[in-house]
Amino acid sequence: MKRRRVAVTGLGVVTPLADNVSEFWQRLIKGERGIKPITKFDPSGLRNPKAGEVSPWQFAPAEFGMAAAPDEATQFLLVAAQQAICDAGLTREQLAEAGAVLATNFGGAMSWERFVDSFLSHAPQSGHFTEFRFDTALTHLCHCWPLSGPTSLLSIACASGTAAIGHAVDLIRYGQANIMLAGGHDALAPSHLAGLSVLRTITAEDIRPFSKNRSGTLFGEGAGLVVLEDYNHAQARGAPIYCEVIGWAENSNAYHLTAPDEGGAGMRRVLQTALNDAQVDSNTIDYINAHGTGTEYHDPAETQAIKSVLGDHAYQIGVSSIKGAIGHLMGAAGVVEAIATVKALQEGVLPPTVNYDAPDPECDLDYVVNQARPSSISYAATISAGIGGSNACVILSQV
Amino acid sequence: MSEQSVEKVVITGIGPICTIATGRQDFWAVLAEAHDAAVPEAQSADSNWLRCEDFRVEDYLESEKTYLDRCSEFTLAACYLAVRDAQLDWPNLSHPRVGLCLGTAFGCLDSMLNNTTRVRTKGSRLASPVVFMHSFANTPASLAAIEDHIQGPVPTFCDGDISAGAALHYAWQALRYGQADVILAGGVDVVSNALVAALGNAPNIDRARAEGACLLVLERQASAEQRAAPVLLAEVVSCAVTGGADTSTARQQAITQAGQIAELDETPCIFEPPAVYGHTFGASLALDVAAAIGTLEAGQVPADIIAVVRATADGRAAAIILRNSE
Repeated sequence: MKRRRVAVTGLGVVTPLADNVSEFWQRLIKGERGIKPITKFDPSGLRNPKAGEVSPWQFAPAEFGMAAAPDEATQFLLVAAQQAICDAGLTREQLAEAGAVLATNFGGAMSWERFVDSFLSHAPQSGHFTEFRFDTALTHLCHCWPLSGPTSLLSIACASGTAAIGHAVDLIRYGQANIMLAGGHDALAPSHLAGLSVLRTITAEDIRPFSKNRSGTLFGEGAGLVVLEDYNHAQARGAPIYCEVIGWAENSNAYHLTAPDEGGAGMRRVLQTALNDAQVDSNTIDYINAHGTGTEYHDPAETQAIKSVLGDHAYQIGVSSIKGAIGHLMGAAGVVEAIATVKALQEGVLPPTVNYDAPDPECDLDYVVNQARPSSISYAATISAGIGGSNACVILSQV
Repeated sequence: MSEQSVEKVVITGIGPICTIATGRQDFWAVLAEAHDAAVPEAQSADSNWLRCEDFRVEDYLESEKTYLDRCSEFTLAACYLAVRDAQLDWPNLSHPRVGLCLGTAFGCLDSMLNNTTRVRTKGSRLASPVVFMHSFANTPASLAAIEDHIQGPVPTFCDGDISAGAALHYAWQALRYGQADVILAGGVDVVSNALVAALGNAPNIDRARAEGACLLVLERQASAEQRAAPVLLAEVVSCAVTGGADTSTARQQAITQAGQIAELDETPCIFEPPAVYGHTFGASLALDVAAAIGTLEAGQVPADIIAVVRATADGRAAAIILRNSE
């Protein structure tokens, strides 16, 4: 059978920097940071009282036909979806045939906290549990827009968002849908930040991806959603086409729940498999949006993986992480980072790795340090990795 | 557009764990005897939830583990059973070409509750790193991947009652288009304190709520033939997941779409899942598929093609069409 081409036709974001794509991109390439003190709950006891909080934040349930506001993570997702659908110029009738693949690590995380509070008070509230469920945002999305195509909710920790794009791409490629929404969402909440804090994934300082003085990551919240479309379908309706998704892959390190495998072998395989899927040579890649968490062990492993796949070409291209600017958005990270990569392709500007303050011999690539850089790029990759050892990679190209 | 070859996908092993039986042969034997059985009675007067009381994860592990959520225990055990049922030759498999797709509606709720309770009652500083890292929805699949060195795709789907259907759908598609050689796919959900508290203790409408897991070994037929797989249980002809409509419309859409992919001229016989193993949430569709294959094998249905379908209360559905491989 013929494998169909897949176009990106709509973008939507809610991030700690901004809650729309245009402002997000402008602030990102100016090198601004969205990391700030946590205000939505008491951060006492965490290694760092700062995170990538989306604030101030307002949500109007009536705009989505809802009587009451859903969990915050769902709110982020619905707002990102609304932007992306509008950006793609899709009508409700066109959406009726669309499907969706969403990604999350923690579902409705604040609703889970409320449920546990009610449980500990011996009066469990099932409404909070319903709003927590991992697929609750998908349920709300399907109620807000009449999606009748394939739907699923994916959870592979911090690689979820990138994999969601890949899964949606396959559904279009192999003829099960013409239009797919691929999104990721997560909200900050005390319990998982506490867990990430005691795992010492969180730094007590600034997040400094690939820098010698890096000491961990900082988390953030938000959502990203892209509209993916059969290329011919998009062309036929005169849709704006940002770029193409030409390949992707996901895999498992099969090594450890939290530690990267030796030499970044899993990330190396996922990048190579995605390039094979895209049917392009490794030296055609012009830019990589790295996972770049700023943790001691992850960044050199990812650097090694990139070098082992791209060889000397790895030194000729920009590799940047946007986590210093927005934090690690967990289940939303992959999609928001893919959107930054789409904008890099469209605008010909590489977003910077901020907070970089000293070179590390183990991380010796060009990380687009602290300042955005004009660069005409035709092919780009975005890589994600997550707790449990999951990796995912998407390859994008100019049309 | 580039050319893509399309491969046949077969099921060569089944690893079911539920309240009525463990392992394929026992599962089918109990189902054959209890074909018309009604909803099983609850195990105690104050609970309408069925637990696998005799389950011991130690029976399925090569080495002792310091901590496992019950959801992970069931996943590891189902994996163990499925791999052995298929007689997979692990040393000679290309592990990057082996995957595991798991569906779970609720994941590791016990560990999540444990983690949050510690944080709420003792403070953030006293969260447990071990409990936390075992509380992710993808922890069970990740642990199974580590245990069996599965280096291909290992996604976890949280799609309520059709979670296993989403996992089977993904696995079928990945194998059909040559992205992997072997994928273990299915679902799991366990009875946990949080779930009982959230859903209550009232009797379920049509069947008891229960825990269970089932992983099926899906292979490209070419791979199965190359390794001379001892048993070809069924061919997965097609899978579809649909969403957004009401429950009955979603069911019909899923069946129609799966039928179109399979290029069937008429609607296939729809498998009626027996009530005896209860309602197992994210594991349901995998146990239904295992049961449906049993009826095909036993010649209990008049056709050699059968459809297994389920829908969520909010109107999403998954359908899997199976053909007797004999």
